Amino acid sequence: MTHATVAAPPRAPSLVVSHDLGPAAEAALEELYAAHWRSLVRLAVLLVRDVPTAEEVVQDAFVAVHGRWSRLREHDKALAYLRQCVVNGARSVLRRRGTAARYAAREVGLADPARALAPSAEQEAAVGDRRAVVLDALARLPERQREVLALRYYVDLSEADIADALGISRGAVKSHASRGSSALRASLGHLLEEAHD
Amino acid sequence: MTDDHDPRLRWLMSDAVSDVEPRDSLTQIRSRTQEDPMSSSPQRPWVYAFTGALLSAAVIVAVFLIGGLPGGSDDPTPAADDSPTASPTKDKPSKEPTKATESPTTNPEPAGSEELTAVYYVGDTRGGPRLFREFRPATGADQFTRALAALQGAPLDPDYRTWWPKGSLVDVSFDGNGADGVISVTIADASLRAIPAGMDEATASAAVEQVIYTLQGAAQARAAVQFRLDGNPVDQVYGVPTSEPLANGPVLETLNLISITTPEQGATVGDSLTISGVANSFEANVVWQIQDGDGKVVKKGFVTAEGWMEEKLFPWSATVDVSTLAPGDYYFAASTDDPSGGAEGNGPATDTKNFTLS
Repeated sequence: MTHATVAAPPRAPSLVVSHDLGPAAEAALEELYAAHWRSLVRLAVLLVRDVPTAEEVVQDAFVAVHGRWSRLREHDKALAYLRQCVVNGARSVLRRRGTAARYAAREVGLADPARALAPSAEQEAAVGDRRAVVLDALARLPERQREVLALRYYVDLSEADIADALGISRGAVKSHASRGSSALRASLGHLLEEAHD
Repeated sequence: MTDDHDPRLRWLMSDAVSDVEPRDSLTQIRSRTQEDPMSSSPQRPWVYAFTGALLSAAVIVAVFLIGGLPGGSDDPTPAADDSPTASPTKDKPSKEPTKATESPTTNPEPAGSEELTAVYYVGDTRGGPRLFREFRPATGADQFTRALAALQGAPLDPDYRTWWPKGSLVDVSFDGNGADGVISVTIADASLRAIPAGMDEATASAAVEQVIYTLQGAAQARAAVQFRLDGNPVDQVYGVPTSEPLANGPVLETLNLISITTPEQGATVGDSLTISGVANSFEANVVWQIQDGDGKVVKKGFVTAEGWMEEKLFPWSATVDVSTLAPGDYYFAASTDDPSGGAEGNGPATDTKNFTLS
């Protein structure tokens, strides 16, 4: 998957206008915050792995949606926009963080098979470990696969909505979902074997 | 792994972040929105960038929207000749990790033989949850145990899912009386009686229809299906009343109006692509297209199914010359024809597959 390099665009006049929206935008922002702050941060954690970074990314998203309020008056559109900002923000953070950190994470995963791979049934991973294993496994996936799986499995978006959110074709969404879930199944095999309830 | 782990994957991902309680940041956000908005824009160029990407994606997506007209039917008896065995796409791509990790089923049932089995999975459409048909290899002593195993296994296509986790359906039998007969299927325990948290009624109904349609396929007859628990008929499954033997739901309202048989999801194909499936479409017209990895349409056409206007889905197939296309990943989409252009009903029904050209 290729990503267009983003040149800083000319300043959008609409931003200035939206700044003056005043109370309506403020109230809408509060409402969106109350309804979605927590779940968006959780989505971001699935993408960037750590909570403080996730909070930053989602804060940025809220600031951005506020700036665009003149065009995003409908709650659903605003929420979709927030999610897009979260995904894009997470991606830039990971880029900035560089590949070094992610390679390091990969090394840790490989060096510590008890975390990355199946512990035997008797040494059942503690809840915290299980969560860490899942986040680590996500972190090791290619970017697009991780994004597609988070939007599909955590947010429960449709294929079409994911395509919209990521700006890729539906075929690509499907392909990333297919490969990502296969990879995740392979690395989380032991966790998946536990009883379904 | 052939088990359906999707519900479990969902659960694991939600669980992984369920203890995240972010700090309250409304004050910080508000203080930032009070700033001159111009000052923040250079830091966040992506806000603008993806808008353009979005637009182009929307155009592509508009070409093929998932749909599902109310009504759609299917041959109750999937003939062997429209299973993917007949096509050159049977080989799975070597890059598909599932191949390497596939292990013999851990079900306690006797090995029996492995055969391709028609199985119905649930996919979301604009008309709500609908059943899509796939052919999956399943092991069992007879076609009924194979059908049961396939129902409790993962679909190849990530757009589908099964609502029957491994171990949820434990036994099946058929009295052999054709369409007047009764197929009995036993659920594992009483917890399956209630509708699971978060499942809506339409999905619960589709889950039950999954079992009915798949077992009718195994029986090669539209026999009624009796759900049982501990030897007795059970009053409900996933909240759906099941005291009496159940007939299948109306074909055109239960199945997606189109299912692709080939290419199978993830298939690797050579110069010649056999496209096939079943559909019930206006004037039997099935429209298809192939997109490349960038979402660009590189081939399109239509094929006539063997019929329409009856309460079933009709086979369709064609051979597409793909020798002019570069090796790589492609996306195949097939839709029913919608002369109303989406003005009536839910628009065209669609099924899609990824495949790789070698």
